[in-house]
Amino acid sequence: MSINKRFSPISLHELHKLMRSPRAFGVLTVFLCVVGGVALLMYAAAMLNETRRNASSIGQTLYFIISGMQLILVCFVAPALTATAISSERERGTYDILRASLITPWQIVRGKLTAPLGYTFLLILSTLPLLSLPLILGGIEIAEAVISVWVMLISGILFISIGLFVSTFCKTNLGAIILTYALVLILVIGIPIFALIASSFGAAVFTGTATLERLFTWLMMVLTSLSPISTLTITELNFYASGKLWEFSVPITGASPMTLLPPFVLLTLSYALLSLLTLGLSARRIGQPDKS
Amino acid sequence: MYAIEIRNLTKRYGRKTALDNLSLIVMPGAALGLIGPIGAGKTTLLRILATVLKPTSGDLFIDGLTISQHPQQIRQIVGYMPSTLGGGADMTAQEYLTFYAACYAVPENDRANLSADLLQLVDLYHRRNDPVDKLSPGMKKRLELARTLVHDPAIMLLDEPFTGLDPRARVETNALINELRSLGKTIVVTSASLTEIEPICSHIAFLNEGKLSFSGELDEVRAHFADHQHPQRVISIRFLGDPDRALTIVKESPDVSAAQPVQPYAAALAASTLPAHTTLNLLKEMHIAFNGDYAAASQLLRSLMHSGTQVVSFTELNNTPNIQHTPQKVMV
Repeated sequence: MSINKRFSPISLHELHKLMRSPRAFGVLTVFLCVVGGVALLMYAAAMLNETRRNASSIGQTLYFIISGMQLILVCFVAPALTATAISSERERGTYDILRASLITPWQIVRGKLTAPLGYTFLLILSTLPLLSLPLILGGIEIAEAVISVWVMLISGILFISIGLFVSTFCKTNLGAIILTYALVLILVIGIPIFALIASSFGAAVFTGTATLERLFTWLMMVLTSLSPISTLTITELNFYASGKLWEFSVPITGASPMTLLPPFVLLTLSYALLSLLTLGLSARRIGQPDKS
Repeated sequence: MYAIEIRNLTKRYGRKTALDNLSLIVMPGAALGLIGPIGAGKTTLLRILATVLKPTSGDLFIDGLTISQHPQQIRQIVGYMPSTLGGGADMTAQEYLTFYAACYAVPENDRANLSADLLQLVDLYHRRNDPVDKLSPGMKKRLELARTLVHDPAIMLLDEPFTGLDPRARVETNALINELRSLGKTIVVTSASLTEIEPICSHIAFLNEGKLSFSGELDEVRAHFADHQHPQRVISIRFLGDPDRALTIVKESPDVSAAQPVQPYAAALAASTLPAHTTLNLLKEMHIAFNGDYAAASQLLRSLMHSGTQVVSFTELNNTPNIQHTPQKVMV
């Protein structure tokens, strides 16, 4: 089967457009330079302060730095790839031409997703060699690195889907970009802050009533798992406390600990659901004739 | 079967009514020109016919198919060219056509030949490897026309195809659309100017504030405008000299239906106690209702001057044709 039959014309066109532009290689280069540069700087700084016996500590520090940098860059790059996908067609006046053609709304959605997804995966995968450094130095398990990359891939998919969804109803590129970043920031930073504040109040209110405390703890875990930052943080804290990645339990006052799904599993499920929802809504929005 | 049938179509944007209970029928092979000022509802109508805009109410049929129920089948038989020049987002002219051929499910093996044929049709084959964004507005319009043809539609909706074109590009685009007409395609083309699209249309419809004000075959439209070619104008004449003589000259003209001295000059004249020969140098003004053409107006001016009246100004006050149209259901 030829590539033209496997991909919709929009997928191929968007791939051409993205990969032909010097910007794609520029962003990739900057991405690698920033992550690699910061990792090397941190490594050099750690080597100056630590003795060789603490190599695992250096490895852990490097892992946190590299993962954190990757996550921040994914949060910035991925939404930008689709935030103007439809609004720019609208601004250029080509949106009506596309919708008046035989291309289906799902083909448009798939077409607009293919290139950004591929590019985001490329960005993440290209930084994988940097993770070999903390792995060699020790202090982290391969499973930790795999979970970290997995969370980033899943986050990339959702951010791209959110960008596409926003661009289907925003009239201008600027509006679409602002709204997309606002939503991503709420998800990545706003929700953990809210969960932290709510936990402080909840601990005072619900402690002592086992059922309410369990319900509240479950709700907070779901909320916290909506952010890749808090998900990875809690996963690491749990791993260092219990030595387990796939089991997660929370102590309940005066009762047996509450066992929950690991945060990265919750994130995977919630992000998969949100991605499907936003993509479905995008296709629906594209498929409907305009009202104005 | 009609190519396009519109029954009681209404489109509202909030409180604004863009199309108001519009009914229209277009026969296969007709080339309908939709004329109207900006905001008349032309683009709205074309976007609805192209299935990208939802009407508020009314029934639309294209080739007997309901737009709301069969949008995909309708997209197969309709080619839509919006008024904006979208650009090809880094594509070359050939890639642009190949891309849209793929969007219209043209078999992969046929796309290259089809693109080349269409580029030759619009005389852009020599620019096939140029980026679309580097083409001139006229070339882009021609490329857009070619793009509209990739799936060989029976009906073409062309929104303002002449906007932004220089005279030469207009002539070329005219020739191209006429060639499409000769292929038997039904064409709906919009413009703000009748003279712009007259050479390519078999029928004309006038849209104003969302209503169809007049429509018919091109000859009917020409006859209609010939009837209204010399609508009544009000001409102001300011002059020095004998007002009675000037009034007599004016009234002798068969094209003048009424003539009246204008205040305050008439009042000043009546109130004047000066001898008659001194009032001759007072400025006077009269308004005349004039039905003739510009040649007749010129003749009247000459007669006044020959009579010794010193004409200071001869100005048309109202030059807007006052054509009364009745909304109607029309077949074109």
